[in-house]
Amino acid sequence: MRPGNVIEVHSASMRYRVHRSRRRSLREALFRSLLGRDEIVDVWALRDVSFEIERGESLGIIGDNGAGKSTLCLLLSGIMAPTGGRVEVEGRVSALLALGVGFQVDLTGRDNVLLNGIYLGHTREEIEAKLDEIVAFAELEDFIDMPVRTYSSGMRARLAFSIAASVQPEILILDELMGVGDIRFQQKSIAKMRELIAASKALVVVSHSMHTIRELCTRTIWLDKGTLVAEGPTAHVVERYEHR
Amino acid sequence: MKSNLAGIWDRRHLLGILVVSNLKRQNKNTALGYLWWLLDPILMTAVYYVLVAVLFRRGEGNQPYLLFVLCGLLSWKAFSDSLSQAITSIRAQASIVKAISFPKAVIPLSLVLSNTVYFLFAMLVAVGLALWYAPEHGTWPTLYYFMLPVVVLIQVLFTAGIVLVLATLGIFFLDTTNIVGHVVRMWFFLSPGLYSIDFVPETYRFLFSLNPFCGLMTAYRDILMYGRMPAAFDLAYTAIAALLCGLVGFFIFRRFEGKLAQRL
Repeated sequence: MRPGNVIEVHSASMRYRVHRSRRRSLREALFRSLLGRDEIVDVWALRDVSFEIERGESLGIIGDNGAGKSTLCLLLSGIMAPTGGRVEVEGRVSALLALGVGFQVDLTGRDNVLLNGIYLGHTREEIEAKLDEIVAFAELEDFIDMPVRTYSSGMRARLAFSIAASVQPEILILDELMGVGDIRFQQKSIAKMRELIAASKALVVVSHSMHTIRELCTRTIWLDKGTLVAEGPTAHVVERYEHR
Repeated sequence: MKSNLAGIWDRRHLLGILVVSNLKRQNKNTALGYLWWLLDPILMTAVYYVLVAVLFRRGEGNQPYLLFVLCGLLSWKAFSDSLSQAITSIRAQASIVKAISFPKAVIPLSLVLSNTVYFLFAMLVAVGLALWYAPEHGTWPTLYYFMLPVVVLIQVLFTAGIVLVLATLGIFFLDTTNIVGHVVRMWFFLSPGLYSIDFVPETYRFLFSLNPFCGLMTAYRDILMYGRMPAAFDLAYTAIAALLCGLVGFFIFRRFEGKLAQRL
């Protein structure tokens, strides 16, 4: 990786092999491979995409639905490996993709803070030290020892956000900048997100809101059907995207 | 992130909290809660007491058959529960696998470890039974109890290997659950759980003894019932087989791990 860069993507491609029936049974697998009739459709979510992000930079990713933006986020956060090309990332990445997905509803809020905090990369000691702060931010002091099963969806969302926001990533990936909960908590969560952005070494924002992209990103790439069609200063790329 | 030993060691806190969560979750909604850790093996013992001592009248001979059966059953339960839970374990965590990067092997491995904790509690019941029989049959605890952790470790290693393979298969084929249920039942009857290996016809005895659970069940009995050291050669074979199984399972899991998130 070139010095000064935190992310380098070298002609990355992502090909999903979609079987006609997505989950195959063993019988079907045997049957089809014996008869040579396995129907596989290749779907290219990304094709030969290359770009770099320098330390301190903030990159916007724009494009229509199905352009490959979310797949690109999955590659950058290391959840999937590209089927072609290389993705190099230097530093702790956090994508606020993971809001509350790891909740075990039978466990208490407290147990879930520990579990999810550790999933997100905290050590046991770190998360225990941050527990009170997380609970206070989520405003769940009175409910934290009750099973998450009993929480309203708003309470779950608040807890999930507070846990995710307790990790200060070096590289922050945001797939849509959205607040959670009621209007008051939304404002509070967006303010917290801005703190994380300010403290991160690099930022990647995926959004359909050109307002958000213009405000947060210095440079922007435009994806269309998996290929990179434009890259450059945000004002320039957004202009082209809006007036295509 | 790929599962390798360094990666799993890095995320040992995650493995730890997953084990704790498994343990907490399973008894959270029951009235008796953690009492089940002991009640479960006690009730199982009671069921087999009726079967063994009352119906088959096997307890009257010179050895405590109930303890004999339990040494096989309890270790098998830890094994088979790990297997059946592991097959669907990664699919059950699909949303987190697709949202966070971590070595996925910690999910099935945490199940092996939480079932090992249950097993250790169940062993307390077996030890209690050994003490109960001690005045009559002389099954007093001996220094060889210190060998128990070694045997348990071998079993954990073996279980981990099988579990990693099944967790991988479970992602790609939904039928794995159905097949494994029958294979596991067959495997149990081919293991010396309800009978002794000496009961097997001489011609087949060697084949039967290749099964690592033959060595494991025999070792538990040697320690808990006969107060003697498990046969060194058999134990060494079992340990090597378990180690190989663990390694093969680990490499198979690693080989397919990159594709898991896509297949969920």
